[in-house]
Amino acid sequence: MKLPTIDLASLPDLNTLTGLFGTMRQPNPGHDDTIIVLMTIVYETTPPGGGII
Amino acid sequence: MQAAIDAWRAEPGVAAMLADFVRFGDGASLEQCPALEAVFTGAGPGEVLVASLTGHFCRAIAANPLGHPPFRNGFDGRASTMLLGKSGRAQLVLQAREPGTFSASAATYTDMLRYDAVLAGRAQARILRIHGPDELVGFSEESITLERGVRLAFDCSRETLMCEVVETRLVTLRLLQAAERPGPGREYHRKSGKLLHRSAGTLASSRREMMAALLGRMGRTEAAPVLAQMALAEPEQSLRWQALRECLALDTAQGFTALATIACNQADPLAHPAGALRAQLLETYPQLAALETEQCPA
Repeated sequence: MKLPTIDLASLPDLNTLTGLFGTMRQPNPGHDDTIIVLMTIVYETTPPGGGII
Repeated sequence: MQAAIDAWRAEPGVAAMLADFVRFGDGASLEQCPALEAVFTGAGPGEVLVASLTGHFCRAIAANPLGHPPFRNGFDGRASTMLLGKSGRAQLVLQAREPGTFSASAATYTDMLRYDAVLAGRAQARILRIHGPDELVGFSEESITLERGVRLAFDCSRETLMCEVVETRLVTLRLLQAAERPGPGREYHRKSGKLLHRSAGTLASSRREMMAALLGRMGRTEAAPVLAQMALAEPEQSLRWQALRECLALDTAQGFTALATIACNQADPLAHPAGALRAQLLETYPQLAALETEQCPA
């Protein structure tokens, strides 16, 4: 059976889009939670190790 | 620096606290971790613990001025944050906020539990709680003074803390435990309560989403079964949908079969958009009807 090839751009997104982990719409420098969340991303790319445990 | 950590670990009470921290990272509740609970519920143990940690490191840095403490850290001019340790789903963070007045027009909520032990300084803050449906929430606010000895617990999916006026440098020891399957983070406008932004609940799901997009751009048709499996089994809906789109574009048969499976399972949160897409594709490409699976008699 010959099937059509579907163009990715023709496939809709969900109504509410979800950004990458830690992304924000409005920057909130110094805000409690987001800094820790963002930090986790930035430092997740560094080799493991360090810390008290 | 390693000697400083080792010396601190040998201090009384530290080993029990670290063992509890590992248990907490494995998913235990704070009540099940008595040594850790003592730090985050009563005044005293937390202050002693951090004073001995900083004491060991200050002496180590004085002796080795070019030494670098092995903690991930950041400073943005207003807050300095040091990740003391990470185990499983738990993180232990030491944060210092500089004096000043802060305001934010949006508040972010994520699927985690948070325990704060204020060790030093003084600040005026506000606890912002949200209620109502995910798309449009109402806020309730509670003013609070943060100073040495204050202990707080937050369910970060509904509660957050805004430090508004820091009078003297505020030092907080913070314990975080991410949910086992965190939903997306949500950012709300404080005035209107409108959902401004959603972000993936875990780093892993963002990474997988990028992998799926990369496989799609590379035209790796052999990845279609993996993408179909992601679309069916991943916990995060956004990732599932993107994997499904990539799968459909790479391999029509496998993608459409996965789409039909999702559309037919009414308990699936993606059943509705999948049903709409399935109908749209069947209208555009009637030959896809031949792929309809038996479990989907419609």
